[in-house]
Amino acid sequence: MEGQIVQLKGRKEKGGEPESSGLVSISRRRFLQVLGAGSAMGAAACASPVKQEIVSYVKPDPEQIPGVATWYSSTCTECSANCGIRVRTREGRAVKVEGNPHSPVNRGSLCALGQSSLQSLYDPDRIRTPLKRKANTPTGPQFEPVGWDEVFSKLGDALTKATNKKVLLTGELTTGYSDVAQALSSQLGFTHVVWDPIQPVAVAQAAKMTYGTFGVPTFAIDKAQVVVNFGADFLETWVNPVGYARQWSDSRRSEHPLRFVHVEPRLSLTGANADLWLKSAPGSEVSMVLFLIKEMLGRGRGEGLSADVRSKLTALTKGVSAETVEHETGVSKEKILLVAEYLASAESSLVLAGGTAAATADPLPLLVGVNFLNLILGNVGKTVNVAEAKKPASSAKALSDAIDDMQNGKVDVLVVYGTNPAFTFPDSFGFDHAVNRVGVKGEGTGKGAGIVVALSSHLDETAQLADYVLPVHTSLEDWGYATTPGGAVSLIQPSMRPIFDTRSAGDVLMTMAANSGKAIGGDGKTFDALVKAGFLKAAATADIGGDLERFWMASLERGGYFPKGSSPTSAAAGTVDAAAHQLDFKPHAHTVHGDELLLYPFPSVKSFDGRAANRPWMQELPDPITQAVWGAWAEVHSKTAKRLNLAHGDALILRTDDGEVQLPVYVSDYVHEDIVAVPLGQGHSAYGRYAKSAGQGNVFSLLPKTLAKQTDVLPMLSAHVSVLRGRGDGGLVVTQEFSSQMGRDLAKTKMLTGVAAAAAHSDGHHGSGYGSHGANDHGAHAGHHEVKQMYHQREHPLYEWGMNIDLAACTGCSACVVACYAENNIPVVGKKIVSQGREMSWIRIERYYDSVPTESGGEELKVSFMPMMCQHCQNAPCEPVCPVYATYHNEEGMNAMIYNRCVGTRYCSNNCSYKVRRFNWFQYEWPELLDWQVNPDVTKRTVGIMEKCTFCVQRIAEAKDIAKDLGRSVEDGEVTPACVQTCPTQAITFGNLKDPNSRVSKLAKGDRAYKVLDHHLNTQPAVSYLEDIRYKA
Amino acid sequence: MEYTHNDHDPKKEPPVSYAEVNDTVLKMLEPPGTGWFLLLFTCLFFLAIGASCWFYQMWAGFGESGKSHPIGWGTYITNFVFWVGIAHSGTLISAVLYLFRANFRQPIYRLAEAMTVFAVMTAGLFPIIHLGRPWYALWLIPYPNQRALWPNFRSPLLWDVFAVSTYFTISATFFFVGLIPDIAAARDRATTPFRKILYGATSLGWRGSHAQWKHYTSAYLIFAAFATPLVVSVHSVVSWDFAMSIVPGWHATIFPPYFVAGAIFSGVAMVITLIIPLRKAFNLHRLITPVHFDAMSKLILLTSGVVSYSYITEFYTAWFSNNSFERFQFWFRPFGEYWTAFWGMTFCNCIFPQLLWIKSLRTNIAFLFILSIFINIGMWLERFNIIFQSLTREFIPAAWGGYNFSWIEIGITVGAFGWFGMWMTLFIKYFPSVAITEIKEVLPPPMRKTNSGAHH
Repeated sequence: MEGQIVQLKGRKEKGGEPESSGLVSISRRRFLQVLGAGSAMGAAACASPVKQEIVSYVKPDPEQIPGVATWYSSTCTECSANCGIRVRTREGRAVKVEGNPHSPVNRGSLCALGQSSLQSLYDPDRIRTPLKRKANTPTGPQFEPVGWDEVFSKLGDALTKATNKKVLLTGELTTGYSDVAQALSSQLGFTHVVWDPIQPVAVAQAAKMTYGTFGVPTFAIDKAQVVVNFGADFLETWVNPVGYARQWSDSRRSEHPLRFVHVEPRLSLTGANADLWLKSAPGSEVSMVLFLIKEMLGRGRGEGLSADVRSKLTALTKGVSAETVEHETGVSKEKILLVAEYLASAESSLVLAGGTAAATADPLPLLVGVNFLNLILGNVGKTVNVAEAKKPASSAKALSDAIDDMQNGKVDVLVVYGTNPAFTFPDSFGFDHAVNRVGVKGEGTGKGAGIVVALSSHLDETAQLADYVLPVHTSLEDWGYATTPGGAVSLIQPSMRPIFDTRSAGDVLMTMAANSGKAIGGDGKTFDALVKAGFLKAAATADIGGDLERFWMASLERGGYFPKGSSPTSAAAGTVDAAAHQLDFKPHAHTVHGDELLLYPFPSVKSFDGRAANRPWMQELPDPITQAVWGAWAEVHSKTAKRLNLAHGDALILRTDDGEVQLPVYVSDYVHEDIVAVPLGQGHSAYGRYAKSAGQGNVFSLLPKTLAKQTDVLPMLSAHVSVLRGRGDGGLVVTQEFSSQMGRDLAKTKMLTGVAAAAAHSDGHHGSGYGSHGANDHGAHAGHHEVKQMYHQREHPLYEWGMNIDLAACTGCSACVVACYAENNIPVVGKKIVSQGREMSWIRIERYYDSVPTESGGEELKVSFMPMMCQHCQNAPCEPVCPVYATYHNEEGMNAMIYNRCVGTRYCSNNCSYKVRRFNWFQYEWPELLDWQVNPDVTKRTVGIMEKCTFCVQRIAEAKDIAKDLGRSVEDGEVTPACVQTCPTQAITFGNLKDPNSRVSKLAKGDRAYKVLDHHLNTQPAVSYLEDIRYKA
Repeated sequence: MEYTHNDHDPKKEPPVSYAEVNDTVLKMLEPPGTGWFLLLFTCLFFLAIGASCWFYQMWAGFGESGKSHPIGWGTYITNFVFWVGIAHSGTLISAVLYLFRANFRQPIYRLAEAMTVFAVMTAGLFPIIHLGRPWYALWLIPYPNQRALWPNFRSPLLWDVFAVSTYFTISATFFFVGLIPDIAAARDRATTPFRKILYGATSLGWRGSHAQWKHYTSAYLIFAAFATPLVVSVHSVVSWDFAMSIVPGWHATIFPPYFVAGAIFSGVAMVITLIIPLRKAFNLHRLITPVHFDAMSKLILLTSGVVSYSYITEFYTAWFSNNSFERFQFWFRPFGEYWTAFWGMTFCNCIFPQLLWIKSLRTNIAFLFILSIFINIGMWLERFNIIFQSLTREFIPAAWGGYNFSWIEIGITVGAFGWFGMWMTLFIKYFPSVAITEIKEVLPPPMRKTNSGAHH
């Protein structure tokens, strides 16, 4: 059954295979082959598409010790930030992906998407052999398996015969691949078109206009006292989410945390973390920027700018006042002045714009305006580094041109790799149709020698259009390297033997070139050799010493070449491009009438642009803001919902001239009244069983055929949709229905005042201007007051494991949740079972909407995120009620769970005040191939028993084993549970509470420390929290 | 209690005689008619539904029931408490009222005892049905084993195991001992070989000698004394399943007396529900008279008062504690999402029974039958409110949730009635459901007829 992930015991349904015939399944024999082959794999010898053979353990591989993990360093290619990763393999199989601490990009952390890359490798819907299109049927194209030789001969034919254009269409490529693409362009005459819908191309173009260099600058968020952000979701998907989240949190928990203002039409995860969240009319942000420019100039800022530029800016902002901005943006005048005040009084600041705010039809005025604001405030060279820039290549214009060419029969060869324009480019441009016209010389003529080849690991919407689909390695099986701003060169190396008859896309492209007599990098060269050469060349810009081979091996081990320090260097104030002055500085008009609303598509940590839609972990992960799982939804304001007679969860039809989708309504107060916000990335018609089962909702299909003015981005905020109520229930499933804390002080907040006030810290440093938010101070210090206990307290001879979670650092990004799924073999249960409240996640990111007082006596929205997992209480309510001792307290302070002993009374769950125990309502099984990821160190649980967070007890055991061999006890920092390891903001700390000098002990005694519900129930959790901080607006 | 008068006209009908008691009661054991078979098959049909639902639940996964996160307990534990509650009145009527010499118990106690035994048998199924892995239910029993694994004696669920099994043992023994003289009477009239063997074996050689009567009455008294504390203890222990937890709405010291009163309340109601059709079917009007119904009605009125008082106390305690979690829970019950269950309970248990202050209604059989059904429903709702409503709204609002009723649960609930009904149906046809000997105790002994009507 399609979309069935849960195979219920006794109800197992036939047909887990994708519909397209010809895809072979793995036989037992094949399984053993791969297992044997995988186990014989060496670090450097695992890439080239050599024949797989059975190799027994008779001669054991020194690198593979059964039961001991082998780690391979590599680079994440899920988004173009290119975080360093380390892949944990067991017996030749990758079982876990973690951040590489050596990489300056992510410093050891990883986001939810990166964690889920394993499920791309083990996707049960992967293509297993090369495919050739056989026929088109009403249910979709039919493919049949072919050999690689046939593919290459056909491709060679087509290349020789091609008289027209040859197009190479790719996603944003890592450097290793752009080397190949460049060679293809220069040697074979390919036109290289790049398409990635969420690349901040406009930001790079605005930088060219203002600073003279094309590229997305790097930002030092942690060096700013005030950050004003217009839509750039830097904690979610923007540029480098893990790195920026770390910078943001470093500042937020420092002694002088930055003040963060976020302006946007719909509350995003980034906005939810702001001190002041301002809801603006879509596309109106530019007027606020102009007002801020005017205010700053009026206050005598902008000394660094030439008099000419200053006078031009003064002229440009002449008619702008707080009133006009209030009128245009819908943000109150007081708030606007407040933001100006923050910026003016801060010693250092940073203004950002991007994300959906830059996805209008005319984004440059906003972005250039923001650049000027940064120049006026003197931020360039301090918090904005234009020298270290990322240069995105994606271009909607180029893709649109290529589509026109194909449509007009001017393209004979189309090779697609790493992008899915049939899904992520508006249908109105007609990509689908154009692909069928490749090689067509005129009306009525056949396809001739024209060929469309897709290099893909999945049969996604674009691959389905191809004549040949060539299965390529996923990133975890492939070679490559990526240069990142700051001079780091990150290596991609295979972490395991390819599972199927797949090849590296690099090798495919190079074979294609070699067959045409234009071998890239020399005859007989393979992609891994090219990568090695390219890497050494890129890294050799720095002084790396003599022995290249040793340097190469060392780099493979470390994951790349990571030179010290890449802090923003001072850059020239910026040569101001003359074009900047001719920009139309009027807010983008959006008129809404009748039942029409502006479509507001947004990327999120959960779905990005849809690239991870076939990964069950990402589908089951609750969106941190809406808590929705499996599929898209349409957010509308409660007033709009009332006007349109819509209730939460109703089915809603969104219709434009270009398409129609049906989605469930999510009623929220935190979206603008004139918009309907829909996440990108759902509503796949191909790609795989999970992507397809998640339901409708591809918003790209609604967008009109428009290109943005003067830039290469796709204008996402360009569709006015008519809204109709659909029939019945929309199928909305959320994991959290209640958003208020009910005054229960679960997620606490400390209020700060003034710019860059000193926050409370464990060293007892008290700043002048902070006070606790009224309702929250009672019990705040209960965590470290010794409460008199009536009964004998437990003793822990050696270890007392404990955790600390800093709510000031937690952004709610949910990376920990996915890491926990991966580490602890948590089953994915599917939409229906989640709708019954039976999701199995051991960590829950609770999201609360509260209000906090402002200086002026008003109230402001406060969003809290609170990771909640087993609190390992010293007085655990779950323990005494279990009739069979299946849960008990161990001598290391942990609440242990004996799965074998559990009979399933569920009394422990009833009595758990934190509700963190999860019951196995069904027998959950991993579909074939996804089960390869299962962590062999953790038991899979059976039906009818309870489970919960174990503090990753398997990692504790491993650390104790190692310490025992060394004849000592485990030291601080030697145990890192999966959630702690991956946390992009390092908000979670784990360690031994018995040791007074451990980091967790110190944090647990800090001024902001408290324990949830402890002062009510005396549960004495081993998990302590640090209060969140918020500046009083 | 006097049998010298009857419902209608004392002058017309002669007093009940020893022979009439024997005849009326033992007539019930005569070969069954179609009606009885129909009843038995209905019960067996319901039982089959319940059994298949349970097996399906075990086969397909416990998720087939409506429980979810955070509602770990629901219909099954509600049924458990409901049936344990039903099981209460039997022992109360037979043992406690025996010790207090309340003579209105004689014609009803046998049926009440049978109901007790079968209700405990029904109740005892539910803790097993509700387990995630029922095939390991034996782990709750402290049996000696190689690995020296013991159950957790601190867990109220383990106390339940002991409380319910003790109660079952004692009430079954008490029930059986009380039956012996009556079985002997049946044995003496038995015609079929099966019945001869059955009664011959179960009457344990009763011949009605003085010595036997002497031993019998002292044994009966001792068992009554044994059983009496159990009336209080079983439901107190069951209430500790909740009271010993920290769930707002469960954690209350009033639970033991509150549960015991509720159990008696529901048990008496169930006796009425069962005895009215029985009385009609077997024409027991002269044995079970409005006087008995009047007495039972008064018992209902009393326990309804205690139950209502307990409800009020719960609310008062929640308010007085100034504990926001408790306060919210008790606001939620009447005014929250599931207010219908709360107000349904209040109507059935507190308001409707107040009509019994009217004397004519206390002896109005039709009214009593309807009222008893309402009380049964109300008491089921009471347990459901306590168990389910408390679990839906605990400490962490992010983890609040709801229930997904499933057909499986309804099937198993129906099956429990089938199981109980099956035993009751078999019982009334095979054993005397009205205590012959005890009724005779309160009848005027048969005297030689003299004209003077002299007393002995």
